[in-house]
Amino acid sequence: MNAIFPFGLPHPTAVYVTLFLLTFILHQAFMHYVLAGSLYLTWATIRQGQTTCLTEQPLSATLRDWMPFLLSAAITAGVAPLLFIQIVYQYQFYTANLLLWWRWGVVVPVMIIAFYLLYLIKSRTLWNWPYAVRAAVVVATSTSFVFVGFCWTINHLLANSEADWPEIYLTGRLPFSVVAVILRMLVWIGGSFATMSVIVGWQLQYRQSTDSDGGSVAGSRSLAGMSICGLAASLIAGTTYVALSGTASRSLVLGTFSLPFVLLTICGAILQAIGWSLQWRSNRLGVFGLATATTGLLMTLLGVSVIREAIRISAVDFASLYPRHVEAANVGGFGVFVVAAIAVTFVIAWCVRLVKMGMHDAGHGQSIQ
Amino acid sequence: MNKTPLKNSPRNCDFDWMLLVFLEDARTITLMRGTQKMSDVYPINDYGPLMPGLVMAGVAIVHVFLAQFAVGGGILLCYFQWLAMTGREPHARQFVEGYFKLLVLISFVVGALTGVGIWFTAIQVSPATIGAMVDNFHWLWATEWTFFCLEIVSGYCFYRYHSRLNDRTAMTLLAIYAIASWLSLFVINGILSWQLTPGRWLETRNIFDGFFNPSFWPSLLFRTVVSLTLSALAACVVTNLMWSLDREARRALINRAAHLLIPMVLMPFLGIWFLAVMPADSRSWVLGGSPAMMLFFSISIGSSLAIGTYAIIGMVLQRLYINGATAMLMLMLAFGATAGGEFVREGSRKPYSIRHLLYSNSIKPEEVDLLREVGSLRNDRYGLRQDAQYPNDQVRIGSKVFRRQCSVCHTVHGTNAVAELTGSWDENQMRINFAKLQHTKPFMPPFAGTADEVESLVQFVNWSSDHRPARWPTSENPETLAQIADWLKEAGTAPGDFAQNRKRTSSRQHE
Repeated sequence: MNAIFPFGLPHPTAVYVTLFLLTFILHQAFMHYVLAGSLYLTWATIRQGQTTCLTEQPLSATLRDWMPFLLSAAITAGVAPLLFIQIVYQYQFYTANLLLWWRWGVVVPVMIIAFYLLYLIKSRTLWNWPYAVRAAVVVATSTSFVFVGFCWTINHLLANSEADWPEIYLTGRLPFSVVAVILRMLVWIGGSFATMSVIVGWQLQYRQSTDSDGGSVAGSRSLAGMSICGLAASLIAGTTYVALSGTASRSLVLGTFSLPFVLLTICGAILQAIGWSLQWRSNRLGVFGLATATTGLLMTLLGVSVIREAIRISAVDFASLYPRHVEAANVGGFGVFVVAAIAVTFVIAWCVRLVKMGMHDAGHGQSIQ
Repeated sequence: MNKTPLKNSPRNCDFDWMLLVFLEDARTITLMRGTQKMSDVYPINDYGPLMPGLVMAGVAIVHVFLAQFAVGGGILLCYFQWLAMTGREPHARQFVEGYFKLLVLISFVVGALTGVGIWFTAIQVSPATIGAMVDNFHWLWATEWTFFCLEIVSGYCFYRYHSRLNDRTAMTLLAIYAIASWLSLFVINGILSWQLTPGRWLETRNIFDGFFNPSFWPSLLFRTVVSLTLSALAACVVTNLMWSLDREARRALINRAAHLLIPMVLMPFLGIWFLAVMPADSRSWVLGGSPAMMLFFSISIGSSLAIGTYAIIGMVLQRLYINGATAMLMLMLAFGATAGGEFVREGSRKPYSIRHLLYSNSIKPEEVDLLREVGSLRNDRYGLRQDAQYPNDQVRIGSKVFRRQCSVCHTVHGTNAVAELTGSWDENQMRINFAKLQHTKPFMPPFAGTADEVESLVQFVNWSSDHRPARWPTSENPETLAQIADWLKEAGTAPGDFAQNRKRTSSRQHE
């Protein structure tokens, strides 16, 4: 691993790991929205108590409205990294699944419950119910998502602990320190607020720009605060985690393989901080500030994802997996995927355009009927 | 962890028929014979009275039902949108809105998540099977993923904005949704049908030979008809929930929806086509060789026939009204038919999970020779939970053999229990039947282990059947082991031939 990621890896391995990371970043964007969004709604619901109607706040209203779709998008986007992880780390991933057993199996029913709770949160019905019920629903929803995140964290750690598998199988006890689990969870939860703030920031900015009075939409300072606090928590937790991890992990993270991505993460965090400071000062969601924060976010997501992979690569006998990747690369079908991916990207863009045009036409009474 | 440099790894060696035992950190044992590596052994979980295959079937049936409902739903919605646009059906617009809500609330949520659930369950039940499917078809699976993305985007665009869109745009979005969801069926159908009929892929290893395998088209067309049927039956339920409409308006909508039931007349032909391209042995299980499979096959046919007859005569020809309870009952019948069909599809692959590539117990056919020599537990690094309850090491080994070779389809005392299946056998019968497993029942894989392991399994099954006493004698008679070894040799390592007797008889007649 003497070259920068992914150049130090054999060709098929580099392709699969890169595809895994890119699709994982796409999944993260949606997943962070839902995780941080549900946590924010929980906090806002409890803080507002019985008096204020949460449905009127632009930030809460946007989150409530969009979270079910974003969860759908997160699940769908999650299929691709779930596929590529089965190519890259098949034996490790499958064994971790099996060792977690029913604890892993509950992820799906919990997600189904959380999904329906999001629809309940979206409906007006819930907000007419007593405060205790409202609070219980939002707490249950956010707890479900944190639990799913916890399960994935444990699964990841388990996949990296091959030496402990026989013992875990016999006893069912997981040999991970609470500190390691909490630090990893903090990296994700903190980071999710930064992602959610950027996405919902663009949504609110669009709303602000289409408002007839052209006024500012409340929420820019809340978003800036959440993003910067989340980012800080994530960076502190991540740095501590790397510092506490083994020499092999540290040397790979801070070596040629992923050091550029550590720098990318730091630069991304600085850009995000600058972007959100601009919003804070103007108390308005501006395109320049949001674009700066978005660029920073993408840099951070990419950087953190590569660092995470470097830690995993240092924990498993990665070189022994190369022959599997070569075999997988020889099965064919890549061309079909590329053609489908390009075609689908165009059709998705067309769908969005259709909606914009269709709404415009409908507004002018041009329905064909 | 101590790393093994790739160039020194035995996985890359190319010795001919040489047995090599390699220890990594005294934990992992990798066995190779020539270029053939023993399959990875995974930590298998015990589901108590439930056999793992049953758990898998439960999740799979729910997912298939919902996924097919979503595929048919897209086509049905296009039809109703067209009816609305052309003014042929005054309440079609209202129906489209209500139906799509149901689709989003059920299919987009439970349907999507049970899809992920299938993957998780498949890993639990047979990691080697899902691993082989992913290894061989991952780019097509990735292609299917792009269609999922399109489904979600077009579906949500319609869901969120249809009330503000003009008709042509709404129709376009629905058509994109319908095409994307059908294309996802197209892709997954190729991968699933490959499991039963890999066809020319076995020689060429060409992905498209595997994908467009002999059962691809009958299976795709059959599933498309099933999808249309499910969507039409769900439409009957939805229409009955539209309380703002009077009975006549509801009848009109139901009769329109019933048009999508007409393709059911093709089901018998498609079913026969599917049966015709099935491997002969698989077909024989379905047509009487296996009572369970024949029963499920009959349930599936019976339910489909009941729905089809009622649909064609009642709803299409006589334009009868169907109330909510009847619609729900028919939908449940359709669920039963789906469950029966999926059971037959899964079960008819036996003794394989992927024909000629992997047995249902995740052992590869070409591995059996090697396992007969070195045993099936050589690279099993997982101990037994509650190890102290076993009376001796032989029973322990038997338990591990059971876990490795039998537990995916059998339990000890629950579903498809070995204790009950072998209840009337004496010890010698058990020995010969296990040793010649593929001849005992041709839908069983050959026993992939040594004579010692057969004897250990016999002792484990007997001990379990005898309520697991604290003391159990070890069976170490060399003559018995020699006899088992002879039986194993006689049985060979090839899969069982269901037509063996017929061939023998005809050869005698020929002589």
